[in-house]
Amino acid sequence: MDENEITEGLRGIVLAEPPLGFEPDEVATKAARRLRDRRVALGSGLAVAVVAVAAVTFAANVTGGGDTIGAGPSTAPTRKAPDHDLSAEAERNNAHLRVVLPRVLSKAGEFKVGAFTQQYQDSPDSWASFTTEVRFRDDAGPAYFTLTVAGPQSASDWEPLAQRCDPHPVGEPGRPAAEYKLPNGKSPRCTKIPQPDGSTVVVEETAVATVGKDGNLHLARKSGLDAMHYRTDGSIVGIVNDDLISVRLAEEYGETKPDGSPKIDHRVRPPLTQQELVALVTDPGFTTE
Amino acid sequence: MRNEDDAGFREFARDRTLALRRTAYLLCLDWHLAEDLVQTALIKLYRAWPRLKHSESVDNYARRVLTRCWLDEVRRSWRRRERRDGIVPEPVSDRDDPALVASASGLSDVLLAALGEIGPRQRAVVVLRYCLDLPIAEVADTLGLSQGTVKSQTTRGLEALRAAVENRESENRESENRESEDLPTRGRSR
Repeated sequence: MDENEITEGLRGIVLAEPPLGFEPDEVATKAARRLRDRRVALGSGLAVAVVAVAAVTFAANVTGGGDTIGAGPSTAPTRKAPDHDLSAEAERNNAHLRVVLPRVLSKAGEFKVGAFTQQYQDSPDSWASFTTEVRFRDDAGPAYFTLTVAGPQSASDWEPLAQRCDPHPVGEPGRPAAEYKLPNGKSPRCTKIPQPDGSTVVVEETAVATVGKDGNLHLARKSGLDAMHYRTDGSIVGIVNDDLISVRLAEEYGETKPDGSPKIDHRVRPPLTQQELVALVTDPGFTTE
Repeated sequence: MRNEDDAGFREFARDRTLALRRTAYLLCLDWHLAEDLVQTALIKLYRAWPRLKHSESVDNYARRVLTRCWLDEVRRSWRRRERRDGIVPEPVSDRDDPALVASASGLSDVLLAALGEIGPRQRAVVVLRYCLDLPIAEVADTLGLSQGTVKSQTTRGLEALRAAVENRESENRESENRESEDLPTRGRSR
C-alpha cells in the first residue's frame, strides 16, 4: 500500500459506531455541579483565573444587586423549599455581618452587602449552605469577597480538612498542586492554624493560572488569600478573597478608563488581610442554625 | 455560569459529542475510553465556555482539550503497562451492532489496527491531519506544536503507519499461505 492509498484510506475511514453511551446534557449538568462545587469549596488548592472570574459572575447572580449598610433588611432568597428553607437564618447572618463588618474593616467604606442566598436548597447534600458577597472600597480601590456559611449537612461540598493542604490534582489529571510554581519558584502557601477550641482555620493563597503553549497550566501570579474555618461541629465558614476588580465592581465604584468604559484591574493586595479573614471566619455569629 | 451560557454549552455538546467521540476513538481505538475522554473534555470545556462561546476556534479548542485528555491518559502508568503487555485495545466494542461491524470496510480495519501500532503523538497528528482532514495550521494549533513540527511528525507518522500496514499485510499473507498449505493435508487425511 503506498502513501497515497494510506492517506485516502484515512480520509475515508469507516467506523462501526455504537450508540452513544451517555447523554451530553447529563455531562453538562455534572460539569455545572463540579464548577459550583469547586467554587463552594473555595478552590482545590489553587483557584484558576477562569474560576475566579466565574465566581464573580456567580456571586453577582446569587446575591442580586446588594444594598448598603443601614439601608434596611436585604431581600429574601427567591427560591423556596419547604424542607430546607434557611431564609430566616440567612437574614440573621446578614444582620450580624452588617454589624461586624465596619468593626473588622475599620479603614474601609462604601460597603454593599448582598443577601445571603441559599442557592442549592433542593440539593440533598448542599442545601445547608448560604453565600453572600460583600463589596467595599479602601485605599487600594474597590474590593469584593464572598462569605459562605455551611452547616454540617453540606460538609461534603468541602475538601476534608485532613487533605486540605495536601498536594493533589488540579486542572489536569494527575498533576499535583505541588508541581505548580509561581514565577518566584514557590508554590502557593497553604497554612492550617489550630484554634483554642480544637477547630482549625486554613489560610491559602490562590493564583492565576494560564494555559501555556505546551498545553499545561502555569501560575502567572498570586491572586488572592482565602480562608475557611473547620469547626468542631462539622460546620464551615469560608471566604473567597480575590484581588480582581471586575466589570461590575468597576462600574459600581466608578473605576473607568478615559473613554468611560469600566476599568477591569487587579488590586495591589487582596481585599482582606489574613488577620481580617481570620476574624470573620471565626466569628461565632455565622451559623446555619 | 449564566443560564444562556449554560444553554449554549448544552447545544454545543449535543451537536458535537458524536464527532468528538469519533475523534477520541481514532486516538484511543476503544469506544469505552473514547466516551470517558469526551465526557472529561466536555467537563473541562464547560469551565472555559464563557470565554470561548463566541470564539471561532471553539471546535479547535475542544479537539485540543480532548487530545490533551488522551495524551494524559496515555501517560498514566496503567495504560503504559497495558501497552508493554502487547494488548492492543479492541477496535470494536462489545456494544457494537454486528450489522454495523460487518459494514466497516476492510481497508479501514487494516488502518485502524495500524494506527494502534504507532506512537500517540504521531497518531494524533495523523488522525487530525488526515482522518479529520484539518489544515496543518489547525493541527498545529490543536496540538500546540509549530507547523514545522506538525509536518515532520506527519511524515514520520505516515512512514510508521505504512510500515505497520505492510507488517500486517505480510503477516496476513503468511497466515493465508499456511492455511492453503494446511488444507490439502487435511484433505488427504480424510
